[in-house]
Order: sequence, then structure tokens, then C-alpha cells
Amino acid sequence: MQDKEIIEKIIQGDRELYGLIVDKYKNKVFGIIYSFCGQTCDCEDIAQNVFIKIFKALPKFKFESEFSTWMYRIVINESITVSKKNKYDTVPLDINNSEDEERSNIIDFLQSEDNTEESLIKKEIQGNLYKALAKLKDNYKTALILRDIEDYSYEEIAKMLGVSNDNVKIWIFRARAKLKEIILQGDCL
Amino acid sequence: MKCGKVQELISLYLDNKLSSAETEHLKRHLESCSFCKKEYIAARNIKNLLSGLKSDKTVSDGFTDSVLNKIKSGAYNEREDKAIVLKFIKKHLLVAASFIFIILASSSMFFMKGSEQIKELNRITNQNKIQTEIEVKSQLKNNAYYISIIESFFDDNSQETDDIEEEYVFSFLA
Repeated sequence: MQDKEIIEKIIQGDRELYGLIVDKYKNKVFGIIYSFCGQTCDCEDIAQNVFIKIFKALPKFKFESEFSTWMYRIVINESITVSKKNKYDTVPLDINNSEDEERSNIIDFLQSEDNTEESLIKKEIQGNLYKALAKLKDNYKTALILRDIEDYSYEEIAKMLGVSNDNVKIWIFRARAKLKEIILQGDCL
Repeated sequence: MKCGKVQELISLYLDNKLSSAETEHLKRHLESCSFCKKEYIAARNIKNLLSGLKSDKTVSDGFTDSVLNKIKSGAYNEREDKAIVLKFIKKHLLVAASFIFIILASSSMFFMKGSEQIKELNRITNQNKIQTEIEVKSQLKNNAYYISIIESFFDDNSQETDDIEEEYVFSFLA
């Protein structure tokens, strides 16, 4: 059965069919929430609450777009709301280095052509990425997370957010530029 | 290719969104511009760091059943929603009642004063003395409300205003 057929039957009263929707999308929804919040929250609990919220909102679904597009917008809005309430722990700097040395290490790391090896500085930066992402505007952050963490295409992101492909391109470009600035200035450390 | 434009192209290049021709132009520029090359490497490294945040976790086995049970048992409950709304209203009823009382009290004082002033206005205009709009205003000065009443009175009775003024002029000259 297609999503829309299932939704029609659920709205008519067959609530058990909602299990099919949950089964189909549970891991994607969980993944999006985790990408926004990381380990700072109980993402599975939040995902359950989001599915309950989606269920409550089903009578408002107008069947004008794909169900998944409509659903992901609810998921993203909830993820943004939850992520704003989180306080992100900061991975501490190497205490043996001064701030200038740390910044210099960050610059060297980012400009290194081959930094696939695990290193302390790599762990520090990655550990503080959620904090850095939290400093971005909601639309930039959302587009960047969906692209670089969740690996959705520009077209899929545009549909999820209800904007044009060009908007998505611009938001991703600006998000990357701003994120780099935040990391290089050590604002997330 | 200008370096400013290159930054935008780097972002698209990282997402395989450039045409073959654009890709070639960009690569040639990066080979010749050390600044842009560093920018590209930094952008690529940050993208790789972000992709490293993706979780390979999945939800637990009982996830779907848990959602359905919550829906059945009351996590989704119309009565509960209504109860929450009523509780909210009760909690703020005292504040709402006070607010309504203040509005009603202010309104009644406002209209009481208004009717008193309309009587006063009639008294003034019904005198045998013919007064122009300016003289009436001077008697009731510094009160914007009175002025608005007067203006609307005279606007509604513009013909009377002209007659009054004409009579005043001729009575003065007489």
C-alpha cells in the first residue's frame, strides 16, 4: 500500500495501520533527530514522541504533497526545538597548549590534505561540532545537517523544507562558510 | 576565475553539483591558487568531520509497539488535551477576571465623563451668546477628548456652523 492509502485508512479509524508508517520511517526519523541533538538527549524517546505528534496531526494532512515530505517537516521542526534546549558539553582543549597554539593546530589540521588518522585535535573538533552547529541560523543548520550528516540530496532537502533548490544551495554554502569561521575562531571550544 | 566566485563553486563541487566544464575550470584554478586550494581542503575536511557524526544506530526492537501502545493508552488522548486547556484557563481565570474588571471599570468612567461633557457642551452652545469654534475650544482647553467631540459636532453641523459664524459677524457689526 502507498503511504497516502494507509493514511486515508488511519484517518477513517484503522489506527493499527499506523504501525506500518512507523516501521517504514522510524530509523530515518531517529537519524535526523540524532543528527540535530547528538548524544545529549534521549533520541529514541524523542522519536517516539514525534511519531505521536505526527499521528495527532494526520487529520491536517491535505494530500497535496507526499506524506514523507509533510512528515519530515514536523520531524525537523521538533528536532530544531529540542536541539535548542540542549546544552552541549565542550571537549576540552589540550591543557598543555595555549589558545594560540590550539588555533594554530586547528588551522593546520583543517588545511592538511590527509588527516584521516585519528588525532587529539580531530577528536576535539569533532566533539565540538554540535556546539558549533548550534551557533548557525536554523535554516543554514538544517540544510547542512541534512546534506553533510544525513546525506540527502539538494532536491530531497528542498522538498523537505518546502524551498527551492537554489535556496538549499545558498544555505549550504553559507552554513559551511560560517561553520568554518566558528571553528577557526575557536568559538566552539 | 575570480577567487570570490571559487568559494561558491567549491561548495557545489563538494556535492558533485558542477558541470564537467565548471569542474575543469575549478581544478585549474585550485592548481594555480594556493589560497583557494587551502580553502578547498578546509571545506572538504569539515565536510568529512560532519559526515563522521552520522550515527549507525537504529531504534530498539520494540519501538513501533511502544508508539502504538502510547497512542492507545493515552499519550494521545483528546480528553487529556481538553483537561490541559481547562486547567490553563482556571489557572489564569483570576488574572483574566481582573483584566476584564479593569476594562469595564475604565469604560464606564469613560462614558460617564463623556455624557457629562456632552451636557456641558450643549449648555454652552445653547446660550444666547453666539460662539465660534475657537471660543468654545478656549473654554475647554487642553482636553483632546472635548476637542474631538466639538470637532465632530461642528463637522456634523457644518451648515449650522456657517450660520452661527455669519450671525456672529453681523451681530458684532450691528
